[in-house]
Amino acid sequence: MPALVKIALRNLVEHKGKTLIVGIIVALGMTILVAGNSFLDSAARSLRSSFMDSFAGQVFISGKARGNVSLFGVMEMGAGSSTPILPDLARIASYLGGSAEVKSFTFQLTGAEQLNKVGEDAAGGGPFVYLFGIDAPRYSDMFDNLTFVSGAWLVPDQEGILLSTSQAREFRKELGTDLRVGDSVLIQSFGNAIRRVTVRGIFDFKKTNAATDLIAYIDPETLRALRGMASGAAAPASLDSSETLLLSMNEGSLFGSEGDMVTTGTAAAHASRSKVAPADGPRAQAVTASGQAAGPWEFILVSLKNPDRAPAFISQTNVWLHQQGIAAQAGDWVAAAGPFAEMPSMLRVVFSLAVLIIAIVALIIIMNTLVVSIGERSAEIGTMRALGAHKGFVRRMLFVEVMTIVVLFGAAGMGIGSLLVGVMNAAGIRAAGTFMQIMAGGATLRPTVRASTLGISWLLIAAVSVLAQIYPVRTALRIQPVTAMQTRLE
Amino acid sequence: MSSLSIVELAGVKKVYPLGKTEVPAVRGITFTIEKGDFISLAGPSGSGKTTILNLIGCVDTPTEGTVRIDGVETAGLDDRQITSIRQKMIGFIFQSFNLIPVLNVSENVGFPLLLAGGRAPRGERKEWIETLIEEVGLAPWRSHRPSELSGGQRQRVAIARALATKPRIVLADEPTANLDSATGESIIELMKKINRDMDTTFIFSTHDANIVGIADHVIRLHDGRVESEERRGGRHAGTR
Repeated sequence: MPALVKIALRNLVEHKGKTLIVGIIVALGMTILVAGNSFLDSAARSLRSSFMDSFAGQVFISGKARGNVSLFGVMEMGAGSSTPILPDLARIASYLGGSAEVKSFTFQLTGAEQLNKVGEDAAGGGPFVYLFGIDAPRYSDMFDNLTFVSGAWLVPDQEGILLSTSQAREFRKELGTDLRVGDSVLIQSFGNAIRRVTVRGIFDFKKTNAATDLIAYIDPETLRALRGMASGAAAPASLDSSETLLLSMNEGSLFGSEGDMVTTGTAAAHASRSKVAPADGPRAQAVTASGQAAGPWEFILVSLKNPDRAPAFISQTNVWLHQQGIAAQAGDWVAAAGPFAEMPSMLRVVFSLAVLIIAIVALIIIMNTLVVSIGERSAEIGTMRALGAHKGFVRRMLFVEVMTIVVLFGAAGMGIGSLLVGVMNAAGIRAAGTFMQIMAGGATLRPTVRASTLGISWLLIAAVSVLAQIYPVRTALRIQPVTAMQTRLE
Repeated sequence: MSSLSIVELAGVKKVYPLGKTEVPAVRGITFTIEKGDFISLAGPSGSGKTTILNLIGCVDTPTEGTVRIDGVETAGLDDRQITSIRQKMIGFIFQSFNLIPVLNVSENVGFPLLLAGGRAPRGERKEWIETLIEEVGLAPWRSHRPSELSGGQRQRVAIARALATKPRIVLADEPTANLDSATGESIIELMKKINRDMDTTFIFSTHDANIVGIADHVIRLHDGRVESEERRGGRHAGTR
């Protein structure tokens, strides 16, 4: 055994009290880091998998806006702006179609709308949903994300809506009506448009997260009509008198805007003449992408052959978009998930801050303990210096002592932390409530310890320990050999 | 400087600041110590014995004057150079033994060799440590920690340690102060034997008249000045 390690080990045993103080802090810190990071990493992985596999894909392409664009709209401070139409869709689609890295891609547009029941007693108060307007065959080919309780995916050019079982439950709870495949529902947009649409399927997401409860699928033409986007294919809606009344109640609402379109019955025809942007305008770009998806879209979701290449492909795509002068941007699943991905990120920031505070406190305690210890050992250090120990020797000796504590107690902390994670994995952490589901990335989280987590935890602990040594070692190096002449050692 | 001299002090003064005043510990001392000397710095407390040992041991620097160790002037050397001089040329025996508590006898004796690095083969170093332990009569205690030894035994370990790197000079500050008189005398006898056998220069401070009597060369100090210098026998006998 190297002499320095031998001296270090014996000194640690000799000064048991201080060794235990520093060691317990190291072990506790390691336990928190391993357990906390494993929990967060597992949640992030679960969240990532849940979002990517369910509806976000690996690469998310959208138009540019002042705020952050996500599948759920534009996030910005103050008044929100509408989601931009994806420009130059054909060129982007051609770029993606020509890329050897792309496995598949699909188009989407989104609207936040309210469901309502059809009939004479129609009234406000149904559940709000994010309507994902999709090119169903292409979309279902890319995302194998739904299990249908009844009905099936929309077929090409079919009008209709697909609702989740939780939305159907919510509908019954709020409006007292059971929804079945073949029933019609009213969709009322914040932009003051209303549309009757047939329920074509009721499903469950295979992987759930907080966002999945809010997502319903709809044919793109109906959503464009609700959103006031025209492709020239929107058929006029047919509403009865109470439904028209419902619409009139909402006219001039705070959410309405000049760009939005009223699509009730004859109003739809009127709108197509007057309120819909011209077919050659930026909001009405009708293209055929790969021969399937016509009409304006807001997003393209891309699946790659090698998902690990996503960051590189995103960078490469952004460069291409910039070079082509296309006002669009590529992002990852986090950008696509928007606010739903931000909350776990915020939790990680909070955890990181907590770890930072703990690290600072630990650093101060370790530092003080070491300073006291060095004060008590000044005769020993002075003797060593008098006997010819260079400053480097003293520095190495103290370093080895602290790092020996870090290795021994850090390993203990790692063991305890891993054990805790193992228990959490075996038991499974059930996420109660929406907030916890967002954090956990699903209904149940089974955290696992990864080598990277352990590596990062070791690095952090080692960094804190090294930082904690700086001042004590400087104190030790100031001890003069003459001290040995003046003090008694044993 | 004569070719025999190993330590030379010329006009050395040392003043310690004490608050707003200055306390002179050494007031202009000049003397030479020759290779192989067994020299005692004698004098009452406060006469400057320890200060002079500190200056010779390169653990302190003079306020004025020069200190030369084997021809090298210590003023102006940086910490690394000074440490190297201490490591290679000087052995220390402390009044309070100052053994490393966590090391056993054998490890304490070998500690200066650890600091000096692995220049000598491991087996050779081990053999040398054993020789030293046997020389000081501690072979049965080689695995004992300092806390398990008597004061005399501890000082013997300190002597063996001081000789580990085969230094030119061994400095001993009141080496018998914490020992009973019989043990003290035996320690000084041991030092003298090693002085003869290994031709190592021993410089020790004491105010014990019996111990002073064993030295070949005595420098008597009083109030930071050399009061008298006496050589009695040995290789360089004579009185100044």
